[in-house]
Amino acid sequence: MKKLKKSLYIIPLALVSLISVIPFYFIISMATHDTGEIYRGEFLVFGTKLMSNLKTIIDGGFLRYYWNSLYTALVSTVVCLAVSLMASYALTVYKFRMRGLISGFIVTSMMIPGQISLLGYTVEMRNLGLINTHWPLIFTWAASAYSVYFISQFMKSSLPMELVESARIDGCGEMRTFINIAVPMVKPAIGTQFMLVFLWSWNNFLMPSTVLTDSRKFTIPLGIQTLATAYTQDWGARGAALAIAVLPMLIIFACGSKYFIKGLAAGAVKG
Amino acid sequence: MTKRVKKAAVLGLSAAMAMSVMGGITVFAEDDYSGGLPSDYEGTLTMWGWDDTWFECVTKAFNEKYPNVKFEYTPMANGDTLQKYQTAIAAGTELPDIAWSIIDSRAKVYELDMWEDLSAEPYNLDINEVYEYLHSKMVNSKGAVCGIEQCLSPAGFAYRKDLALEYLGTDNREELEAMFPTWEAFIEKGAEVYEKSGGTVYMLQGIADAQQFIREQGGKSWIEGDVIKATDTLQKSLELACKLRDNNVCDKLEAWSPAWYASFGEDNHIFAGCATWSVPFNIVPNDPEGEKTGHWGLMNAPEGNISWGGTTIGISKTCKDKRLAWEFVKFATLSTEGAQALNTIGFFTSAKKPYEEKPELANWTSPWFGEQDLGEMFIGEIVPNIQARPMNFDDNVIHETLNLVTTALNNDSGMTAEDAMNQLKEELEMRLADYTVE
Amino acid sequence: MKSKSGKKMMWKWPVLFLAPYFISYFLFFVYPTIYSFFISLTDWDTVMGIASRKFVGLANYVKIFTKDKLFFKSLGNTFSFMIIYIPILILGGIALAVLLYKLTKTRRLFQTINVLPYITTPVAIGMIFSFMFDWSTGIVNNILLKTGLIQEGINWLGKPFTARLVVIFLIVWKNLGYYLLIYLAALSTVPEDIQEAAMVDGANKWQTFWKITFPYLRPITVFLILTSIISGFQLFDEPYLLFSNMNSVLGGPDRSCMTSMMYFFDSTFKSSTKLGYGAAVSYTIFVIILVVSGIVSKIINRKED
Repeated sequence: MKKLKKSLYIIPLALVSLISVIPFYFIISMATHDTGEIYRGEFLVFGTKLMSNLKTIIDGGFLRYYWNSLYTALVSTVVCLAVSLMASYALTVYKFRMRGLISGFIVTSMMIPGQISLLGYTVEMRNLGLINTHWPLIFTWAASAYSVYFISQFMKSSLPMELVESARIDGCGEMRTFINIAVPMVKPAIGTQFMLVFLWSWNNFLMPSTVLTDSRKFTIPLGIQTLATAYTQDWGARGAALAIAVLPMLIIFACGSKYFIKGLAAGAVKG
Repeated sequence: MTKRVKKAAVLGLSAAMAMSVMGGITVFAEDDYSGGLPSDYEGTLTMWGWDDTWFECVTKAFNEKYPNVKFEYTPMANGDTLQKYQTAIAAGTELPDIAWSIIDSRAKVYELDMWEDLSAEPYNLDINEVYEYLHSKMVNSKGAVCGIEQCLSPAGFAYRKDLALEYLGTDNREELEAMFPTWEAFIEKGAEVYEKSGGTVYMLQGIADAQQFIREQGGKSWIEGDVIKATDTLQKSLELACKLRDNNVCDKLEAWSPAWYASFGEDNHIFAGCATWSVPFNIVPNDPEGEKTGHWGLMNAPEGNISWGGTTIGISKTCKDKRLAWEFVKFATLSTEGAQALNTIGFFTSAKKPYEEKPELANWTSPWFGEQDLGEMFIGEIVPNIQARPMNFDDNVIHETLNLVTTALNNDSGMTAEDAMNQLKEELEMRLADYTVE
Repeated sequence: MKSKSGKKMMWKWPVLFLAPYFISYFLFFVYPTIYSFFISLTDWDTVMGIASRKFVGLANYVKIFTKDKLFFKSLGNTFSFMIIYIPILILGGIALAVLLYKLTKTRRLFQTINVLPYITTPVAIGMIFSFMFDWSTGIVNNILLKTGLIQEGINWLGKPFTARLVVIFLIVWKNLGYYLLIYLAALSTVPEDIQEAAMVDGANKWQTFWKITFPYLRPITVFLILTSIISGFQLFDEPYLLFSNMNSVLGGPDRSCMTSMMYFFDSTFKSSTKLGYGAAVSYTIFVIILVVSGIVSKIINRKED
């Protein structure tokens, strides 16, 4: 009886899950067919053209977008984490008069929609001569209120003040206490934030489309957008491009889902 | 003394001569835009573009003559032209040496402060070297020639001979043209074809394909001053669009969609709009059968042919080596060698001289069209009779709005021409609030 | 002496540690935000160059509110999407979370599968959906035709109503896993003994859920509604890419799927380059987000009392 009930629970869940993954199935399937087969709707099962499609897009320079995205996301993440860790440390370990106010300010600023600064930011970057560089995409992550909030929450609960005090007594400088004591204690939070910021940076579309015009500098989302022009009539190549743009990320994140899911949920539930 | 003076004078004179000769050489290398040996030209030219076929063909031919020139080509979507150029100008980043401009957004792009005037010093282009119908499409509001068309893009109707024979009783070009002097006649016959085929065969793929022609045929400007002449210039095309739709003359395929491309290889549309570039771009890749059967033909469209699309190449103000850039532009658009190279891919250059010098360059056949001389038809018949519509600053917005209305007409069979006109006006008033819409 | 240096230290270090954050925040957010406002007071079309820029006061804002019907249409579209998909996501998220909460062994698996759409590059999603819902070659019509559910292909992306449905479906598809995840986390904060006690007292499952469990989910629901509104107004990538074929119309048939961000982006960077006007549009959107989320949080909080 109980078992039957449980399997009844599974039915709607399985259905929703199926719908969740079906589009990914079609991407892979598209990547394995040529245009003619796709036009004729023969992509319910996999075809045999995967290698030639992959070759087309690799020859077309799609891997460059990959590299651009990868290193931009990595640098963004590292910058964001460094800045956020320092700010979190300041807000957790030191007691100073404005602390409450500053924490409150950071939490509030999380709710401000980013679109408001976009236009001014683009013009600012133009004036600084940073158009067609990846700096604008990196700078935008330098001050991430969400990361500061998340890491400082974690630090409060997992960094014992006694440890900080004793390190200071042992003659550790503030910087060393921060790097050697505090940072290692919040590794799980760092892992979570790493994945999130990496992902957001990787997926960003609007900002790069205002500051990048040189296709050699394009990141993956811009690369995907240009597929329609680059492969007007080669739908297999489009499928292959989508597949290599999307699937590796999904696999990595599925493997790290433990940290990642925790991060998403914790931020929301506490907020 | 005198001897010494003489000697000195001679020396001085010869020194001066030598200097002036050397100076002459320097002047020759820097300022003379018409002389010089091909091998003297050295350097790299950058380009952002969207027609890889044209680029490869022309640069390959250019390099055979000018071996020391390199090209850096960056693909871009032609819809992004305005955004990319204006960002580069505003941000002070590099523009391409040779700048392209697609017809859709050209009026706006030409207003950007980035173009060398090719009709002025040191280029001194005589615009009359280029076919007449292109002139207005190469000049901006200040009268500067900002670019030269890469190639001609005249368009008529392509038709499937086998289907025409089956449903219209003939595959003879003249007879078909006589059958369709007007769109009304085209609609009448189209309705019969649809009936006769049991609802499987249409004249055209979609109403957008007919619209492309009807809109341009008048050659009337869409905008005059700050008035958009909607009723005047577009009413007829909307009325015809409704008739084409209601009589099942056109299928419902959306232009440039996968199904639309695929339809070139299927046997249920008799006609298709066909510009020079349509053959390599639309027909060849989608109709493998056609190579053997040669079942396509080219004819005049009802009520006249048009100029369809088009891209100009010009020289940007920031170009590092303008002499070299001009050499390339001239080679690609005005020279006989350029025309010869383009002939191999079925394109025709925009200058008249090459075809006067080597008339055979104006001939071109494709296996898909059997024996028919497409070149003779495009250059000899279509080009001289094109009435080009003047460009306007906000054409790109009107274009996009017309697409919107066409989509609506296509998808809503209850929509009348009047509804469509109202929607068009309403949309234009919204998007171009600074104009009066008539 | 000691207290003095201690005090000094206490000021020096937090300032040093906070400095990178606040310097970046100022340079890359506060300054451009203020700069945007300055730009919004000018008439500046970048095609005409910076020399053409002139101060026009609030003229751009006046134009938005008196003449710009298209902006309000895009705003209306954005609203109509939110009104439909937010309730679906909230209810769907709760329902699935309640079901999944009972399953202990497969929980992680289902969680991971369902969160995949949420982490997929939005641009790619737009493109995949435009392909899936294509009228003639799309897989959706293909399946519906083959199973005999429809006789003739539905032109999903060609008609305003169905195009909107596709957008809503897309957003629900993408976000449902995220809502599920969050409600699942929230459910784990509900003490089980209270639920059991209620059951023992004879309350049925439905009553138990609404009376006991739901109050625990209330704060998170408020949070989700507010963040959905804020992000909903910034909806851009997916619908933009959904209609990105060569001849497609911006925002789909009859501009039925044009969101306010799409309007902003297109008029500022794409088909025209009026920076001054675009800045005014973005400020207007910003104020509307503030007002709407303010009103909504008021309503929700009043109900709570």
